[in-house]
Amino acid sequence: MNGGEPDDVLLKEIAEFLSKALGEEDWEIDILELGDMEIAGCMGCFRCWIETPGICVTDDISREITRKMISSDLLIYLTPIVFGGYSYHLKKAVDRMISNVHPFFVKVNGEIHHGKRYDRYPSLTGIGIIDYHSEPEERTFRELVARNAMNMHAPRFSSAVIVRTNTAESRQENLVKPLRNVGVVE
Amino acid sequence: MTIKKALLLVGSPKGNGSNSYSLGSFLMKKLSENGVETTTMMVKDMLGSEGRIKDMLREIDITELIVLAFPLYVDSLPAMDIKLLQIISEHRSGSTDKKGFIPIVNCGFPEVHHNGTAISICRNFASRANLEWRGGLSLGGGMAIASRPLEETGGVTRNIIKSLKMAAQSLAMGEPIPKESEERMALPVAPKWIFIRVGNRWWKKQAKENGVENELNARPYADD
Repeated sequence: MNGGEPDDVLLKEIAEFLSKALGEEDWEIDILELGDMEIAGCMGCFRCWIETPGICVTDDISREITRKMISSDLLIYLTPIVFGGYSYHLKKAVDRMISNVHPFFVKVNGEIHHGKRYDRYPSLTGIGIIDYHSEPEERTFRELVARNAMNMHAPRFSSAVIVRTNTAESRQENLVKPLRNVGVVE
Repeated sequence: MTIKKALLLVGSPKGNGSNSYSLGSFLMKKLSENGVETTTMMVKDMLGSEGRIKDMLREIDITELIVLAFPLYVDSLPAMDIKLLQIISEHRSGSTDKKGFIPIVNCGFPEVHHNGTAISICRNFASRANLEWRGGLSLGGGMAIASRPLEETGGVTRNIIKSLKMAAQSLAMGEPIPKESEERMALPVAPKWIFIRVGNRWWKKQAKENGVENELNARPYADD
């Protein structure tokens, strides 16, 4: 799920690299260029829980994205880091994904979360692209991926931060590491 | 030294029918009582309207305190608020004036630490936008407010009200929110077990009213 701007060449290159790396491991890849899509924002109406359970009432491409998300074994969030969080494009898709969980509250490790709607959920890898090193923003990004993984019942998760000016070689090494951490490449 | 102007940005897609508005508008009321002139704007009305964004940035330029009240969406801010913060941050590039910023975030979970990543994002924004961090107010169990004005919510919000009154006094003087105000806001509104029971009963009741009580567990996107 590429949350970069449509003209962000680097993120498109990274998406292609990840696709190739996973393809070599016999993974079937679907790249979603979210910046090119008309995705409405979540209204916070909860109707996807109490009116049309499991389906957002706003009928746009997000329904298809949400279906793809739950049908996947691995979700990769690829995004410019914005104040330590995700980009606007990625966040719109993520916000609309709450239809994939259940409204009921359950305890997970003593903490309250929304329960599972489905039996299985994808693992999550968050890859954040940052213009220059910022320890607080990088820490926030990693925490956000970890919290998302917990709330979306991801069995495994990993994250990586790539500085935009990194060389292609060091970038590629940093990209393979989080894929190894979720056990999808050797 | 009392500040002259404060701006409330309501970052909920529900606008003035939201807990964010209940919290933010109460703080604005208390700031007014402390001699501060306040302005309130809805983020949902801004995006997609260049005119409204210009109006908002004009207010940003003349205010001394920016308050962003928003609901927690998947461990972060609603997408539209991220866009808003980017616009403000770009606008304030290189600014050196003394301007304060506080977020008020509320979530449906009883544990306030769910809001931690959203508060961090706001703090990082303040740093990038050359704004002074004046603290952050973080609330769990927002259901208790039920989008009502705080004056109409009874005893369940007493700590929230105390927290906001305390915060207003300090913010009006151009000072950060006192620790006690942050701590009071973070106090649980109900024990966890009550919260789970009442919360789940509420979801069921809502589904029943919509005639889908038996479909609550639907799996429309399952492969089976």
